[in-house]
Amino acid sequence: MIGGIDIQLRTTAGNESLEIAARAIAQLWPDSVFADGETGEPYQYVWLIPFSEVEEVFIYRDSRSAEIWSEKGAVPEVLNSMIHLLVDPGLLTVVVDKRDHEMNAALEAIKSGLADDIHSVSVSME
Amino acid sequence: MPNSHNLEEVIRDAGEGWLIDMFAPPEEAIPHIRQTLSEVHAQARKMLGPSAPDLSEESIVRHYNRYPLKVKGFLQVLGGTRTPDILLMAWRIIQGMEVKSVLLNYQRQSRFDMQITLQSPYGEGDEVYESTSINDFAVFRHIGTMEVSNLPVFDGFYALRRG
Repeated sequence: MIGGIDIQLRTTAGNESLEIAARAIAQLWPDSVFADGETGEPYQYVWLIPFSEVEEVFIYRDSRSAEIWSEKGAVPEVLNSMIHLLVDPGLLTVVVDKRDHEMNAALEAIKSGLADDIHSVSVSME
Repeated sequence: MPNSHNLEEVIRDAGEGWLIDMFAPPEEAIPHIRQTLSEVHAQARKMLGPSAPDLSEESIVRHYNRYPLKVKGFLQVLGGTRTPDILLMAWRIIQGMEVKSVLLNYQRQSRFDMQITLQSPYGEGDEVYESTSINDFAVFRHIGTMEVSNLPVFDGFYALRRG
């Protein structure tokens, strides 16, 4: 079995931070598939996930990786083929198996997406 | 999860009641929005044929109850954008189409035109959307930006936050 590393990112994006992160990872993993981290409900495409009501997301590199994770759990053959995202107030947690070049690229993409001011600046109607 | 039953409930529950209250006169706002949605739906059928998305009021309500922030963002665009082409483009991005390219040409007090090409994640053909109205530039306020491996990406469609 393998463990995981938690990387915590401060954010004002709330639940949208899950979507931003999932989309960033999907850019790097074009065949990625998704699952609600609490219910296990699978989603083939990121845009199908109802992010307003989801607080955890599993992102698998592809459907084969998702199958192996489902059947065998965190075995060495699926190392770094799933990223777990969790949102808390003011915080996005990204869980990876091991920090390597690919995971660092994913983290940088997530940070870049979170930095878009659309997710932090409010507009006023007054 | 919301449980709205009609367009006005959706608009008010989304916090976008200004679309109704600031319309003159307010009682004509909903018929006007319905007319706009009908024009977008017609444009979708013209451009996309049988694969056109359903932009009926019922579909908007159904989507809102499942994806409230996406529809909230669409309503915000509806308030500032006049071109059915660009409203359809916004809906298609919400539906998963990806921004493949953007061409923008602006000359002060002379010229504005933009062309946005969307790419299907399902391997279908590209869709090209065009506008010469500078008001349509507002749609870009809703499209997320990021760098992936130091390369630029437009991705996602988000609602603006009300302060």
